[in-house]
Amino acid sequence: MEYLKIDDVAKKWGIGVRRVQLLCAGGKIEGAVRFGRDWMIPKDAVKPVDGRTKEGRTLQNEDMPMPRKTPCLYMTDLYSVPGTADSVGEGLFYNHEAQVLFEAEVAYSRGNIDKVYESANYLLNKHSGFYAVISAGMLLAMCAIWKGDVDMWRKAKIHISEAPAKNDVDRDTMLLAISAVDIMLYNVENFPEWFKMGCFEPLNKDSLPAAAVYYAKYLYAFGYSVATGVVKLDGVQGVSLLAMIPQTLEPLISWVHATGTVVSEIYLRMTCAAVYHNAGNDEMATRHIDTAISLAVPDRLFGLLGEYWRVMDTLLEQRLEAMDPHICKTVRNFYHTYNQGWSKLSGAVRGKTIITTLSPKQREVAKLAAFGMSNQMIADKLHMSLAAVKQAVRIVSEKSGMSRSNFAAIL
Amino acid sequence: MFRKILQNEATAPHMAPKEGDLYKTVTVCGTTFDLRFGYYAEIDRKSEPDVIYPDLVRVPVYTEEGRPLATMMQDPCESFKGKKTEDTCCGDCSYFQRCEDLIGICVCDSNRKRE
Repeated sequence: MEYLKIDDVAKKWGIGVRRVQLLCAGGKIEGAVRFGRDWMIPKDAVKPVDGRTKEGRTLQNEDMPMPRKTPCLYMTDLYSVPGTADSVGEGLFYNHEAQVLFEAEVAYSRGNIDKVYESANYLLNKHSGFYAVISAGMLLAMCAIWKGDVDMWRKAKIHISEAPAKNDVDRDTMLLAISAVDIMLYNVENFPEWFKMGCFEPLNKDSLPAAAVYYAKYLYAFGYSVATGVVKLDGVQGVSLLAMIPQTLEPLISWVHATGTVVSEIYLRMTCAAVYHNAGNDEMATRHIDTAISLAVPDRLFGLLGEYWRVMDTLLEQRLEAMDPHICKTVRNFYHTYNQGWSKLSGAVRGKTIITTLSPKQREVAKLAAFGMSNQMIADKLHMSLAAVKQAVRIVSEKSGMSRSNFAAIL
Repeated sequence: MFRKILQNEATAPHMAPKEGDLYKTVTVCGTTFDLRFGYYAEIDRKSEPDVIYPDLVRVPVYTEEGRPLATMMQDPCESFKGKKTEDTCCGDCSYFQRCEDLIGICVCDSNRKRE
């Protein structure tokens, strides 16, 4: 197939180069591929309808699918160049759901929680598509953390579990989304077994950069629990395990860097830095922190750094102070507000945690029941008898006082 | 910080029961059941044992008034009263009266034992 450069396409279509870049970044031009930082467009690509014009708006299909099939749009190659977050958001004009989502995700990273809350509720009330509902549920969970609101937290998880899943990939994505919400409170128990083994195959490929981030967080949480003696692994030295985790994270970082997913790279580098720091290697930790800062600063994504403030002890503060005291102060303020809500929510969730009273089998069954699976489907998936599944569901229901449709709230 | 969080999150040590261990003894309307740990099917043996409840469909037990005992997990009968779905059980029926643990009695007249 023959390809044209952006300049040539801009001349051919009679529009600006910047406009073509935005259309490529927005996934609006079929067949456009990325080479490094440039785009190449098929010679026979069709000029997209301009949704900004009156004619364009009437021609647009309002049910267009999301540009990427994943929760967390900003953890994809839609946003691949630091400093372009706002223009990428503008470029999503052709899909209102995607635009609202992306801009809300960026708003979260800038600490604008009111906008996040407003956007999440808008999408959840609008009967949005599967990925929009999942993403909006996750945004609502983030708001719950900031506000320390346990009811909002539970509602967020219920919304995610009620997203209109149509197939196994959707259900596995839903499972991962719930786990990703839980990891915000350092709860790793709900990650599916295939995910804990580092397998991302059940997921859509657009979700892989986000999956890499959650996997890194899972490894960190698990490694730290072994290092601190909370989890015992026979024959494994805790700190040694922690020191080995970067061997898994470093290739992931190289991969997301190559795919150009800025936010995923920031998160992965910060998680890797936290692992290095707690394993006693501040030299490597500093290297990753500095790179993450350089990626986050152009678009003021300080929230992504602030989440890691305490796990780095004073290391992050030192690096930010050395770079720019004003930025350091902004990130510190972000952390303080975030941590206030986080502590309140974490305490409330732990105080009412039913999940710790369930056996591993009952937890697994509750999880799958929460995602809409019938007893027979659960029995088939977990290789259990139907009688055992029915009993487990009943026990969970009795312990929690909830019907199976609300099991997501106890996970 | 992390240490404290993770320690708070750790569950109490789980003492795994063995097959045949007694879970508890329950008495429902004059009939006593020893609930023991076991497996409903061979396929369940790969995980820890469940509490095995009596099969009150295969071996019915009645109260003095002729009301059948039932477990909450039993399949619903034709007289089921309530919102029925694929996964509805006896315990979801309005006629089910829970007595102890997951065992109760059915107060539906159509299920009453005829002399």
